[in-house]
Formats: sequence, structure tokens, C-alpha cells
Amino acid sequence: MVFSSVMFLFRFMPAAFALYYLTPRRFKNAMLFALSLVFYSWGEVRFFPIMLISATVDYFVGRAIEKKRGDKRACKGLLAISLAFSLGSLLFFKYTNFFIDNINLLLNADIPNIALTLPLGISFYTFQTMSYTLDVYRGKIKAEKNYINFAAYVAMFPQLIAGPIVRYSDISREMKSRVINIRQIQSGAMLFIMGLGSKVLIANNVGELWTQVEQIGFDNISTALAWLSILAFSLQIYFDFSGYSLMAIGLGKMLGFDFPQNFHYPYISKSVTEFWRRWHITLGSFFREYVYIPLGGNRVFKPRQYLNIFIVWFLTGFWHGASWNFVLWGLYFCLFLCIEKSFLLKYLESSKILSHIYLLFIVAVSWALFAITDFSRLGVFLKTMFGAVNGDDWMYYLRNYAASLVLGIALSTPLLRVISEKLKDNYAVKSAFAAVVLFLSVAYLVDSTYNPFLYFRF
Amino acid sequence: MKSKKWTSYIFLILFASFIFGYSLADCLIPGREYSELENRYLAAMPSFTVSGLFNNTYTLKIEEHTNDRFLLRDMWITVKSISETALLKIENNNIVYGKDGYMFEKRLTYDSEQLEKNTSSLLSFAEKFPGNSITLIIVPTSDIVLSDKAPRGLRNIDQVPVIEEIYQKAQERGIHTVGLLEPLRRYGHKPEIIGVMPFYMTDHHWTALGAYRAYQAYAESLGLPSEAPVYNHQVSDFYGTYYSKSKKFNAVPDTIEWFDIPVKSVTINGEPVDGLYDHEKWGQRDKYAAFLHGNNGVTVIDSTGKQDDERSKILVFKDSYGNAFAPFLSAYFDEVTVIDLRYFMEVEKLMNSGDYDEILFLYGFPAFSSETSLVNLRL
Repeated sequence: MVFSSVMFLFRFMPAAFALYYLTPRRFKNAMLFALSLVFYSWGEVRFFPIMLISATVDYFVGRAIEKKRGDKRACKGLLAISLAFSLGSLLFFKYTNFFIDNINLLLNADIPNIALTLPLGISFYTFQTMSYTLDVYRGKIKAEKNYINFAAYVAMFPQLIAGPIVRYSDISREMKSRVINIRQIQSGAMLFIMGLGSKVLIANNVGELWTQVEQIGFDNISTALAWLSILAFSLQIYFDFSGYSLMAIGLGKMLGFDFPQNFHYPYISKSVTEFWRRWHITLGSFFREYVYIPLGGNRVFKPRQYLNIFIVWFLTGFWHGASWNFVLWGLYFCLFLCIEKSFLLKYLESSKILSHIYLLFIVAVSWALFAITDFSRLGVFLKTMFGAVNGDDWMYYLRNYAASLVLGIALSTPLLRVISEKLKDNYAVKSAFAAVVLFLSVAYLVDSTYNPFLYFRF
Repeated sequence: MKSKKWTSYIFLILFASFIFGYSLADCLIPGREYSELENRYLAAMPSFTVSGLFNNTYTLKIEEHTNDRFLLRDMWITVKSISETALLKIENNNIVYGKDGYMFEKRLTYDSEQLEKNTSSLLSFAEKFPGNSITLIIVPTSDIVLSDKAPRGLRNIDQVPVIEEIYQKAQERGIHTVGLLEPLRRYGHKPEIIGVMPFYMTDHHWTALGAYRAYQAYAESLGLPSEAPVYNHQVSDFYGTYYSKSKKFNAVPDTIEWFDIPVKSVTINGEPVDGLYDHEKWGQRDKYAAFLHGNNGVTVIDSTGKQDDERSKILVFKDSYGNAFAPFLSAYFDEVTVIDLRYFMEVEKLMNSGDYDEILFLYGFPAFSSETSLVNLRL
């Protein structure tokens, strides 16, 4: 089930929150766990056992590590079991066919693909369980004794399918005892609505432009339309992803949890370095904490540092999907991060306008690498972007999407926050705004699913 | 915390009341089965199957059902339509708003494979019955014919060269073809008098006059007379399929014009019906379905007495565009047999029993490039 659906808003949400609030405190985690399983199974009933097994393995490994604290070798072995399991299931489900395809290509072999569906949210929950075991191993947190608490953390429905990646240390205290007060519920509801609006009113709206350009075919569009469409995709992916995160954070708040922020106006950055501190923050900090720093981070000699950065960005790219273009996308960022690290950053930070142009240009091009998985199509698109293909096709799309694009651009800056501060967080205005966003979002949700099956009666 | 007044939680109270109240009402109030606005049946509650559950279609269908039967669905749809207009959008749900109230379907691609298949089905039919005089007419859609009414830069696929290519292949096998772009456009440039335009503003079909123009061109190519029919009638407030898809809140309705053509009898699938038109439909939402009583397997129009000498017969294979067209044929032919291959498969039997002077294939471009039923022509 996705949050942005009538099913979630008018079936699951009221039922789940009513049950959750009515459940006595002692059983709230058990209830949360049960609700999360229903939520998960709704979209993909076959795969919840995999998530449960993953949670169970890490639960027992965590406890065993704590018992064998003194025995370094035993702890290492236990950690290895957990990582092998988490990474193993991720590799198996997500990357098997990718590896088979590449082996076939390299060796001219003909190994058939296996029929695999990617279990919902596996990229997120395996990272969460890994972070838990690693933190227990490093003695940063104590192992959770209560299985239900731990399982509720892994399966928790707000962040289950699209993040943010919540580490156990972020919410371990709240898992045991949390205050659920009405003020928090209210601000959670408002955040949820803002996230819903981001997704339904902006991301879906501008996203259509990109989808249509894909349909027209990249060899049939003008240079102007290519740039217009990549602008649309940039806004779509930002509002879609950050909207999801915001909905998750809002729902978390309504349940009594404080999830970490995941996006912080990434498009106002002045450098790629800054961009990645503002974009998908929980993923960046996961790789920094569990890959970059253990590799030695900045405290090793220069060439090794760059190798570390390379490894991190190879993995970051690859995490986004089992296809080479995502690796390319990650390494593309790696290149600019290294350039900035070696000399460019200080110039960028002192520049007022050029640095923004630089960043937006690099990010826009990166989305082309991200959005187009097929390299020959990607080549055609880039050629159109950087060539000079004439045509009037952009006029239609500009006319149709201008207002939505302007709205998207304005809202990817802190404009709303500034206005809200100017109004001294006026409660009435804020409430009215949220109400309008909710009202419009429901309207767009109701109509979006209309499938044109008109011809069957004609 | 306690010191705060309840007024600082009005938003939460309203939000919770809305979500809980609306959900409850939506569950309790039974939904409609049919939507007038959208001109379609709304998704029903699926029946539970284990396989449906495991391949995720069961839950998907429940979601569809919940959406379709959502309380005050039409109101929400209108809200979206107004909001889209406020955002200066010139399209909704794949329907583009052109000039003068015209709506067009956005067609960025077409199924060239299916088109290829349909063309070869047609050619194999012609090969099988070499002695017959066969004509192919493919109707370009309104966005092509009335391209000056479409917004600038709309990149719909250009049907003209595609149709031209099919015509070429057909001609090579001895099939006659009639190009419609010019005959239909001649109407399009006339002043905007109701009933002069060849296509509806809110529907994908052509008007009776558009169909008549095509008939004229067809008759001309066969060397038949084509006098304009006299009695015409008008039915106002027609909201067609484009409206049903876009649900544009301020759409301008069409006026349907139809011609009274005297015939002796009309039978549908062997059962006699009353005349060429289903007059009840003029009063309903789906007004185009009045033409020839909608889409049916076999429709036979008998209008004996038109010609002095021999009884002339024509066989028409068509999609819904043919429903507005076929009545004009009865002005010349004594017997018009109209076949919709979606509902009729016994082509061989038909060909063996009837002795037709003319055979006509009349399809709109959308159907000719997507319909799978033309495979019934392969015998």
C-alpha cells in the first residue's frame, strides 16, 4: 500500500490509528508490529516472511554478541553471519539477474534469468537491520531484549517501503517508552499532509511531462524540450522522494517517534558536497558511518582517501538499482566530489550565483543518467540536450506545465518556511493551508486512478 | 501542556473528524455501479481467490473498487478539473484542450505491430476473395483533420503517412482506397455553424456530416450518385467520450445532427429493430450509441426499391465510425450488411452465402491500429 492512495487515507489510516491509540501502552509495540505486517502484506503478501526472518536473525545475533562481549572472534563471527544474511538477501533478490546478464555478456554465455520479484522495501529494511547489528557490535547501543520491540522497529510501516533509513539508535529510547501527546500528533498530521501534497500535487503533476517525453522518444524531441523534461524530472524525483519521507516522518510523529530528517532543500546547495548533505540525508550518513569511516575516512593518506570516496559512491550508485547507469550516476557524483575536495569547494562557497548554476547544471545532468537505464537511449538524450535540435514541441509542454513547474521551483526553496516565519507561525493560516492541500490531494487521488476503459462499450 | 486551550488543536480535531467521518460514511453508504459523468461501469468488489491474493491482483482490485465507488467521486473529479484549469493546464487524463472548445486525444505513439497485423489480415482477405470489389477507408482522427484547432507544439503521431503506406499496400493487391483528409478538411474551414464540422468537440467520433462527406468521397470514387439527404434533426447537450475522460468542468457540449433516411427494415443479429436510430439514446448520456443502435455483430439495412433493375448489395466491415456512415449507404444500396468483427466471427459463412457488389472496410485510425478482432478476416 502506498500512503498516497484513497485506500491508505480512508481505510488503513483511520483503522490503524484508532487501534493504535486505543491499545494500552504495554501492547502498543505489538499492535504497531501487527499493523505494519498488514500494511506490508497488502502490497506484497508473499514476502513478509523474508522481512521477519531478517529481523529474527538480527535479533538473535544482537543478543548473542552482547553475551559474548569479551570474545572478539565470536563477535566477529556473529556479525559476519548477520551481514551475510542481510547483504545476501539483498544481493540475491536485487542483483542476481543483473549479475547473470553481465556474466552472459562477458562470457558470451546464455544463463537464463531467474524469476524474481524484489521484495518491497528490502533495500531499506536490510540497511536498518545491518545498522543495528553493527551498532551493537561496536558497543554503541545495547541489544534489544524484547523481540516484539525489535520486530516493530524493523517492520514499522511509516518508513518501511521508502525510508528514511532510521537507525535503531535513533529511536531505541522511544521504542521502550514514548510520549504520545496531542501536540505531536497535530504537527505530525500537518507534516504528513505537506508530504502528501508534495507527492500528489507537485511530483505527479510535473512527472507526467517526463513520462510523455519518454513516450515521444528521445530522438524525436527538441533540445528545449529535453531540458524542460529533465527539469520536470528533477522536480518530480525531489518532491516524490522528499514527499514520501515527509509523510513517513509525519506518521512517525503521530505514532510517537521522531524520525531523522531526510531532505533539506537540496536544490539551494552551492556545491555537490553540500547537495549530498541535503539530499537523502539518512542514506548518506549510513554510508559515511558504516563504509567511509571504517575504511579510514579522511584520516588516511590522500590516494587512499580518494579510493574510499570511490568505493562509497560506487556503492551508493549501485544501491539505487541493479543497472550500470546507477553506478555511472554514483561515480559521476564521485568525480565532482573529488574535484571539489581537491580545490574547487572554497571557490564555490564564496561565489553567490555561479555556484548555484554550477550545482543545478550538474544535478540536472545527473538525473538524465539516473532516469535513463539504457545506455544507447541515454546517449541519444544527452546528444539532444547538448546539441541544437530545433522544434516547436516545447511550446505545448511549456504552456501546459509552466505553472506547475514554477510552483515546484518555488517550493524547492525555503520560500514557504520564510512566509510561515513572517506570519509568526500563524496557526489559522497554517491550518487553512494544510486543509486546502489535503482537500486538493484527495481530489487528485480520486481522479488519478480513473482508467480509460471507455472503448469496451463502444 | 495542560495550559493550552483546545482551540490550538482545532486543526487536528477537524482533520481527525474528516478522516474518520468520511471513511465511515464511505463504508456505510453504498456506491454507484455506473457513472454517468464518466460513461462507464465502476469497478465492483472483487471476489476473493487465493491466487488473486498471492499475485497481488486481489488487493489491487479492492483499491480500484474503493477509488471508483468513493463517496462524492464526481465532486472530487470536478475539484481536480477546476484545479488543473487554475494551474493553466490544457489537458487532463490524456485529453488535450484545443481552440473553440475542441478536445483531442493525445496520441504520442501507436501500436505499429498491431497495425501491421491488421493490414495483413485485410490483404489475406482480399486474396481469398479475388473477384470482389473491395474498398478500404481509414478515418484520420480529429486532431489530424482539424490540426489548426490543436495547441501548437502538440506532437501527436502523424497519421497521414501511416495511412498512405497502408493504402499503398492495399492498392498493390487491387483494393480501392479513398483518402479522407481533404474531403473532411473542406468542411473544417467553413464558418462555425453547428452541424458543419466533421468531428465533435467532446467525442472521438465524426459527426453525421463528417460521415456524409466521407460517403460522398466514397460514392464519387465508385461513380455513384450522392445527393445530400434532406431531413435532418438536432439533439443538443451531447457530452462525448473526450469529455468523459477529461471531465472538464466547463466543457461546451456538442449538438448531434442526424438524418432521416427512409428504409424498409433494419435487423440486428436477425432481430428486427425500429429504424436506423435508437431514439431512446438521444435522451441519454451516450448519444452516439443511437446511430445504428450502437455496435452490433450483424446489422442488415433493407431499403429495396431504390433501384429499378438489379438488387444491389454492399457489405461493410467497420468500427463505431461506421455507425454514422452506414445510413447513407442505404440511399443507394438495396441491402447494406454491416459487420462489427468484435461481435461477429463467421466471415467465411457470410462470404459464401452473400453475393455482394461492393465490400467496404471502414475504420478509424485508432481502431485500425489497435483492434485485435480483424484477425477474424484470416480464413
